[in-house]
Amino acid sequence: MRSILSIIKGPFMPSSLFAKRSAYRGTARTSLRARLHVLVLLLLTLPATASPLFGPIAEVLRHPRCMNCHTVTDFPRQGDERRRHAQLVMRGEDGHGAPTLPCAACHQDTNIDHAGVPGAPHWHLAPLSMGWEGLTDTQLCQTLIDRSRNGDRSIDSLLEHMRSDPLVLWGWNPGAGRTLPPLTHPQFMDALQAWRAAGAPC
Amino acid sequence: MPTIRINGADHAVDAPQDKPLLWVLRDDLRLTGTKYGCGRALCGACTVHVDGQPARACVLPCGTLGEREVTTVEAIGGSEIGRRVQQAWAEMNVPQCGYCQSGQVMAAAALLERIPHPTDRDIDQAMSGNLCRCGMYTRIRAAIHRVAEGL
Amino acid sequence: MAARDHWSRREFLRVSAMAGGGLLAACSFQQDSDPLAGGAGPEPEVPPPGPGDSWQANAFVRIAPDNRITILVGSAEIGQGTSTAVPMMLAEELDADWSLVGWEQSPTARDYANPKTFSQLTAGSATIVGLYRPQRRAGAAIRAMLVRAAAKRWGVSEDSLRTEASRVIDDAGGRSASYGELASEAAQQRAPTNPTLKNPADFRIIGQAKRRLDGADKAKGATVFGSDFHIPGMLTALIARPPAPIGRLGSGADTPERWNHEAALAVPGVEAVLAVDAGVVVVAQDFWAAKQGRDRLDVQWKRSSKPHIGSGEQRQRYTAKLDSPGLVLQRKGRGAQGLRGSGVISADYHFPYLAHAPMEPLNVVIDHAPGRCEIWTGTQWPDGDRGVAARVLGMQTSQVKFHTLPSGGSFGRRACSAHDFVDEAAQVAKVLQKPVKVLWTREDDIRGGYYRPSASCRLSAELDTQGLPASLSARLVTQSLVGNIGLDELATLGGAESNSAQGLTDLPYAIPNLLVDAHNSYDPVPVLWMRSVSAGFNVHARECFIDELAQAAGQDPLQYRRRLLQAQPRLLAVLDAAASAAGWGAPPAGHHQGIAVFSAYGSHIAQVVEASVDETSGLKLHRVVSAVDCGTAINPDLLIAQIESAVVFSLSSAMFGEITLEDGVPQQSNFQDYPMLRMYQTPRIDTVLVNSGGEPGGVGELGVPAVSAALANAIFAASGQRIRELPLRKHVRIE
Repeated sequence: MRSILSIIKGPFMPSSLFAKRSAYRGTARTSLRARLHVLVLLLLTLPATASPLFGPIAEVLRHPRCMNCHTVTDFPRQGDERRRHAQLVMRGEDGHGAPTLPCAACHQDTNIDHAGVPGAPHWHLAPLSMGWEGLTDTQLCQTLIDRSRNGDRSIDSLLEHMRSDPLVLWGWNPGAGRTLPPLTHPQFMDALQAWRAAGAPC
Repeated sequence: MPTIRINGADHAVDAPQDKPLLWVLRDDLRLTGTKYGCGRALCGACTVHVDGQPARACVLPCGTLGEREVTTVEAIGGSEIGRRVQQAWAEMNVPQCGYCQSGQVMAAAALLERIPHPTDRDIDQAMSGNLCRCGMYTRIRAAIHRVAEGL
Repeated sequence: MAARDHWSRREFLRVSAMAGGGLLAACSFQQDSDPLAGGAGPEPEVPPPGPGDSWQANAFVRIAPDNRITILVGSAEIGQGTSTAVPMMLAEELDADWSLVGWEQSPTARDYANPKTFSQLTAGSATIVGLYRPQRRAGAAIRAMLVRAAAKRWGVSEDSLRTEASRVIDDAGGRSASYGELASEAAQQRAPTNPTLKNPADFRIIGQAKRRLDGADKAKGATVFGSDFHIPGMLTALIARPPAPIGRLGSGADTPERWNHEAALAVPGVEAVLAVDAGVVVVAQDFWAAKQGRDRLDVQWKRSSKPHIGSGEQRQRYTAKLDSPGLVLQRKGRGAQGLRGSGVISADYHFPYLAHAPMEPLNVVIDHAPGRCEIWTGTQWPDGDRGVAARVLGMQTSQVKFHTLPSGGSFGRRACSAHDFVDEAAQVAKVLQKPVKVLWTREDDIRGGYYRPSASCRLSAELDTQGLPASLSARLVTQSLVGNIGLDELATLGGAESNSAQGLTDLPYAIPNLLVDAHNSYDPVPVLWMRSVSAGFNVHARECFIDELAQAAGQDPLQYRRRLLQAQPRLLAVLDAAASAAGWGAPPAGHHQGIAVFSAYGSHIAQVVEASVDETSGLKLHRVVSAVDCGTAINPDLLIAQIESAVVFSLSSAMFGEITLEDGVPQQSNFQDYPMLRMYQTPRIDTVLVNSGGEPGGVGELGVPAVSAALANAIFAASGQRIRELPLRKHVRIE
């Protein structure tokens, strides 16, 4: 925050730099309006200064095993390269695919190993309100805890969901040939608990 | 030994729970209209209906069916829409080799049961899981529209 | 013309009464093209068969007392519609009531050979071309016998009678009789030697868009394909084959060294584990048990001394070979040897191995016991397959009863010159001595070799002052389809190599100086013809290159081709028809067009692709227009279906198709990595017929080679990018 404030308050550029580049000296003091402009740009482009406690959680949530069905599009994705799901599979009104080609046409309650088809109970896409694509850590965190978007879950019930939901757990049992999220599931739970203990900061 | 309900009749099948429905149909019950094309839910040749919804029999463990009702291409002609689909298929020379057509007919019947007057987009979404190596997609689309006209 | 309609010396028709009434005709016409037949002389009328004659086995038309007519078809039904079109040709001259005509697959016998392929090989788009006259002659002869029978019955002159819809009609006498009623008497008549064929203007069945005779059954899932065929006591076998499909069966292939016999046998339902030349075989009660057993085999393979090639390394070798002269296949004018230096336009095109990937994976049902063998399979080459089975089993060909079943697609895979799938099945049966169905999984199919060869092609040209090519050189590097099936000595002959140079040695364009040369690469990868064979790559390269020349000359690709095709009226006509139907030059906003042409099998086609490419290289296909002249269409709707089919087949290959090898091992395995066009990716397809009349040409492969080039040309028009290798998905995004 200090560096951001210094843009508004102080000399914009270190004077040592300008001492060597006299040609810029005349522009060393820029208008407040220009400084605000830069500030806005910086705020837009700077990495979100999210809670460090949420960072490891975000890394898990951003893994393709989670993200491929937490899309903001009207279709799911596939694979670590996150290509669009083949066969023109659609989100459908309820996240269970087009009624004429539902997720359940292929995806069972368990992985079908002989076919490489992943499966878990109630296999479906997360609602658009839980779409995570393109979010900063902070935004992801806020989306996660926003009860208007997370299925009206308290932090506690969110953790319970992460602990026990079979579709969440599938992420750590995705079948042969699929990569796993960066944390183990116990590590993920530990990270969530530490985050909750700190007041679930974003 | 699962008991499964196929085309309105119960069948006690001497098969392991994880044996795909496809092979129960083809090898145990000799209902060979349902075809094997890929074994990985990639081609749709094995499409059947489970409680009226299209499903790929090659990845459906027979032991998980429970009370659910399976309909195969052998019986789909018993429904008005199924009969019309099969009729349109024959009238419009839709099949070439015909191997994928059991699955196409099942997917089309499921589509028309739910959406009697589908748009091209509806057809794309319902039928793009079914491969046709002979490439009869334009005829399949036209035949679905033909059936819809009569509904 | 009339002379050609005579029965040739050794061609004959035998007709006899069926028990219980009816007529049964047997015909042999394959000697029409037998080079040993020779000799003119009078053509004797063939007497009706005596008792004990073997005509029944070769019967190919049955007329039942209830007037139903069954026509036996000797060509394989692989989806292309022979089971409808072949009966239509016979029924036309017979004046049959089409609504009462049915078909059956013929037995495997010389009488059903196609004179164009000298066998029952269904390939080369030759079914209609080869059978157009024989089928019509047979129909006309039987009709003449029915008329004779009626004339005799009524005591009138044959000339006073006419036929229509399976009836002989005596207008003067006000009476008629059905063919069914007359059949037994007709069978006693002599077969005419020179039946009169109809004037095409009088055709009532040929030229009609009849429904497929096999369509209703296929829509009901009632057609019995090879994989559906069942005999009592039949077991199911899966074969663990070497991971690298190198060489022919048993000759230089990798061999199984160790495998987990017990683990496979422990699977409930697994009956036996056998080792044969083809690999390690798991025999079980059904597919699922066999599959579980095979999954547990864990075969360790001993590598053969043959090199295990990689696709990247092969590409480098092929590219290097493009720099050195190959075997000259064609030279015209002063050739094109001098093509080098400035002013020469040159482009290299590269093509991958392709898998046929028919929807129905290969399968064979075989029932063998000492001195006896019966085989059921979907195949394009039953007589060839039977010979191989007999050889493997040490039997006489005549001891092997061979049944052709409808094929769930084939595209050449079931016309395997090595007859690999039947060879393997015979190996299994020889050891097993029980009825068994040998099934292939999709993975077995994609990884099993017998691919359309990979190829590299360099085209170079010099333009004259008009901007037209004065000289053109085409140099090809590929595996010879003949050389790689063990006929190496043949491969050194130009004739055999030209099998690889289709589309180059038969260039339709007026180019005064031409040189076509080729390198046959002996890579240890089994290759096979695939729908449109070598034209699939050569015509693609040629038609893309013509576009490059048009661009260099600053001319419109359509007009440029028109100038070069002035001596090809039929091709010019389809070119104009396609351009007109496609609205050439005025596509919808944001869409771009490409055009290409192809002539073969006595037919001509021009195709226009309309596509768009967005700023992220996303390709979208909008429309494909084809214009076709195949002379005469037997069934125009099935012809159009064949073109639609070819368009999707070709665009699938062009956009996605690629088998890559690493250390000899194919890297693709199923439709997720060997994809093909799906419904939502398929453009609108319009096909225009501009048939010029006369003999029918072949159409099964006609629509394949040009459309992929038209697509590449449309991509250039849209993006300015010349893509000179397939598949296109290496360069454009396709979702």
